[in-house]
Amino acid sequence: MEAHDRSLFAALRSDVRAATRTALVTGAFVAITAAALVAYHLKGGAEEFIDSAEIAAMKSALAADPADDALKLRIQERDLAIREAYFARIERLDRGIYLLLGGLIAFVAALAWAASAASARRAAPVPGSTEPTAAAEARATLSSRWSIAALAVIAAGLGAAWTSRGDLAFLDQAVTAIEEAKAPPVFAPPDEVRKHWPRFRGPDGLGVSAYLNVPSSWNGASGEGILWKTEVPISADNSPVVWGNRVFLSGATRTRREVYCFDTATGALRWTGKVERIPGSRNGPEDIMEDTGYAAPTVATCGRRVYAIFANADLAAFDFDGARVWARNLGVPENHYGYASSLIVYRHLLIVSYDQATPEDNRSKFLALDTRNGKTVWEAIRPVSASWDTPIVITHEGADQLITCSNPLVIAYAPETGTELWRAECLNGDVAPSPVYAGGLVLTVNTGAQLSAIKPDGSGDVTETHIAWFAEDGLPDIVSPAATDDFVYLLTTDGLLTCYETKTGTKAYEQDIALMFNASPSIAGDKLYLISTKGVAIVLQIGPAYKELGRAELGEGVNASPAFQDGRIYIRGKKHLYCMGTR
Amino acid sequence: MRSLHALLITLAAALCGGDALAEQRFPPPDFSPGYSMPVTEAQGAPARDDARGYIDAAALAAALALASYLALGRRSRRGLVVLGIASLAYFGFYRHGCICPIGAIQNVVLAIADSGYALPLTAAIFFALPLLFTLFFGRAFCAAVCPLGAIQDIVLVSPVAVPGWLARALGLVPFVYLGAAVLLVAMGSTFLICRYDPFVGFFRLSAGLDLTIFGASLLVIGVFVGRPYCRFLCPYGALLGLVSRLSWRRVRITPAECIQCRLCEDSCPFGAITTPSPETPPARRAGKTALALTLLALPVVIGLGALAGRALSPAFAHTHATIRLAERVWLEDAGRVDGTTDQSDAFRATGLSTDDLYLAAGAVRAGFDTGTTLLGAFVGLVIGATLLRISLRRKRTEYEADPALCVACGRCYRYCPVEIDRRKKLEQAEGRAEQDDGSA
Repeated sequence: MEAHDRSLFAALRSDVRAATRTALVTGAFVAITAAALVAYHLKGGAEEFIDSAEIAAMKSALAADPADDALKLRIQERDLAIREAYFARIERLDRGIYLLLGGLIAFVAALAWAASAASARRAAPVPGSTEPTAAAEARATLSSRWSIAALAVIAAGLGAAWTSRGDLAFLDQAVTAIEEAKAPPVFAPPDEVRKHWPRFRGPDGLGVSAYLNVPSSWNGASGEGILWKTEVPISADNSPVVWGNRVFLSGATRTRREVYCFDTATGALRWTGKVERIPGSRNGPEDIMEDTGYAAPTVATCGRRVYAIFANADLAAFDFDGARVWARNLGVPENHYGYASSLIVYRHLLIVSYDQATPEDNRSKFLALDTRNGKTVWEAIRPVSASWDTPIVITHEGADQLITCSNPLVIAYAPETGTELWRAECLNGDVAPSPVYAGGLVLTVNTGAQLSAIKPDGSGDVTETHIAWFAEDGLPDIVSPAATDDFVYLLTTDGLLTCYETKTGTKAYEQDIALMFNASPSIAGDKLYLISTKGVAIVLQIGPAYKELGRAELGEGVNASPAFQDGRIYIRGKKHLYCMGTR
Repeated sequence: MRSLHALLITLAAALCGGDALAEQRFPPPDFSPGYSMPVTEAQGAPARDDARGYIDAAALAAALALASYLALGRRSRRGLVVLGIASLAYFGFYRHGCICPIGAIQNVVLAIADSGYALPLTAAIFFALPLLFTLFFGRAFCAAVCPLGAIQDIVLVSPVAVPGWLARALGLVPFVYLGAAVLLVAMGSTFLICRYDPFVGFFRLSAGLDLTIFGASLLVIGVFVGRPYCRFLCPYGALLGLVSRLSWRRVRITPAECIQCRLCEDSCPFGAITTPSPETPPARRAGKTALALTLLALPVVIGLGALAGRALSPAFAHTHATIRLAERVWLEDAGRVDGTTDQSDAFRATGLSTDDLYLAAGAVRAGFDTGTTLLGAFVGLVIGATLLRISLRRKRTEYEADPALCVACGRCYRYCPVEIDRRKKLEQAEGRAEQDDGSA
């Protein structure tokens, strides 16, 4: 009997057919189980458990009403149910894996059986027919060398493909920026800055052109005197800024914020810088005044980068090729008309007017950021309310002063440190007109307050001691003044132009122009440029009497102030950017 | 101060970007009121008992001793198979493949590179013991102790010979893997070997789909190609291969003098049997020229390797948590990605400056620049040394097991008529002894 069993076992052991069939059956079992497991795995479920949208929604609701005990209970019950489902799934997977493992063991055993049975049928191993020879050895050595070379080439190819995915250029840029920030700051000297139009109302913020050869006539309808015009992707009322062969603007909606760079030669849009994905940034604000819009502040440039700020307090720096260098969100200021103060650059500092709320709130401040990295260099808290004007930097007796206006104070700071130098209480209301400096006097104005001529050589509160003169006629509410050493011009929104003598404050004349104005007046040599909201430019002779030299029609509404360059004027219309000139 | 910052950044990066350290696998449950959370080890609960580790070390020592005996003393293939299955069951499925000597390389490197890391005694034992046994008895560990080797050995049903030229080229890969793993651990990036252990998912019955496919593929290949992971990937195998060249005792196909029957010629599924040198040697002059050229090319190959390694530095650096975190933060700040990640949020919550993060990342990058250059030079050296070895001729008079390639599986024993004869005599002697015992 034992012999019979042994022969049966031996017969079975050498039965290739039985072994092959067993291998096929167990193999099919393994394949089916594996496929089922993969399908079950791919079906997912873990993500739902880890990131349940349903639970998240209920938790949000609970956050709104933390006392809702019924909701708490529902969350617990749902959480438990999801967890139970998850672990049941894990258990099913586990069972499947055990089945697969068992099948695999059986499959491998069957294969081994089949191999063993097949080998039993084969003849006994016979030594190779060829003796090792020197030639064969040499061939093998050569093949090995080539195979190693081939592997090295394949590895190099794979390495090259992998390297292309691992770029560390960001680190180079970041470390360079850090090193640059440690090095003494580099900035364009004042003489260089004055060749360009780097901020709202030009190099010193006074609306004065460094060039006398600027055009004074053009015609939007015929195109005469217009070198080019280009549509701006998003319309806004900020003014053009020019450096070299680039014109910069910004535009924004509630959800989109962009910086534009145009070519001065052709007007072509060189690049659009998207201001997005800034930590802490939010769209909006919702309750902004339509006339202000989301991109009222004019951009500023230092000659290497351009800086832009928007109504939601997103602040970004782009290099001249359109790459974003840094960005931050300052937090939406409490400003009932919407944020409108423009940026200015002083040496390596980007000055941000961040006035908001009321003087009692103590939330207004000026920030000076390092243009290289956007980090705050100094911050000056100000006892003023929200304002919409743009500061200027003047140089008086060799020292620079940052002149800022708001309700109720005009405050001068040392721009390098933010240290207050002097203050005068001479403003009121919602201050939008920016200060100017002419004839050694700081001139500030706002409707409901007064035009004040302040001597900038005081310290502390100079309200009683350093206001050289003041006037109360023709006070504007939006438009900034323009001034020479001899005359100061005020222009109200509804078109009343008032001229004062700079030295004495004596009114020279006033003239109702019967047009509406939002753009601030500009000076080029002995000419005063006014541009109405309908796009009518009026060129006046600067002097003690009203003398109109000419008018030019753009054919498109204008709220922005123009930029003057060599032989050219850049004007932003409601939809287009225009370049006036002949070359 | 700078070093303090670097330390803080490293800690922050580890906490923020670590693969598993800070990552919460599941969200915390919404427990009923009154539920008290259990104290975790990190919060001061007593650490695990280390006794299990010492038991593992003792089991390893015993298994190595037994494997050495079975491979060299007893010369028992069957015994090695049984021991292999037992090792697979214990070190693999029961102990879930951890700790293992292959992964212990990383613990040792980390202990050398990071003075703040104390090398666990168990890890040190697991790393050193197989090497020590190999120095004395050849690759006993590979023979029947390593669960990764055992699982591949079991599935090897229908072995197909890998051409020698291909096996030689692929045999370089474990050195590259070893170098890369050492570099990544030394730089604090990741435990590469553990991360891509193809079989640990089987041992734990839990793995990602990618690793499952990788492991299953190796097993399927392993049905035909003997131990593909051990031969063409295992970094510890590379070390054992080097050490085994110096072994005091090692596998001999024949227990006595080789009778040159050539029956064992195709018996090794791992291509570890070397044939005797041809009767007529190749021309000496050509051999010398090839050797001289290879020697001259060696510095060039090393230099090219160093350059290639340096070029790979950025890609390697991306495996480091600090680099990845710095890149993420930079991309967020540059507005090139949407939203934030848990890691970047956690970093920003630390209050550390991005400058510190970038400088720390810069330091890590510098480390990778050096490390990858050295890695490339090492790979170049390995390639050069292999080419040199190919060019060197050694006179062999009999069929031998190449000590670097032989995993002491014992398959070749049964092909050797001298061995069969020895066994018969042994069995007869044992039979006679039993008879004598019976008659006595």
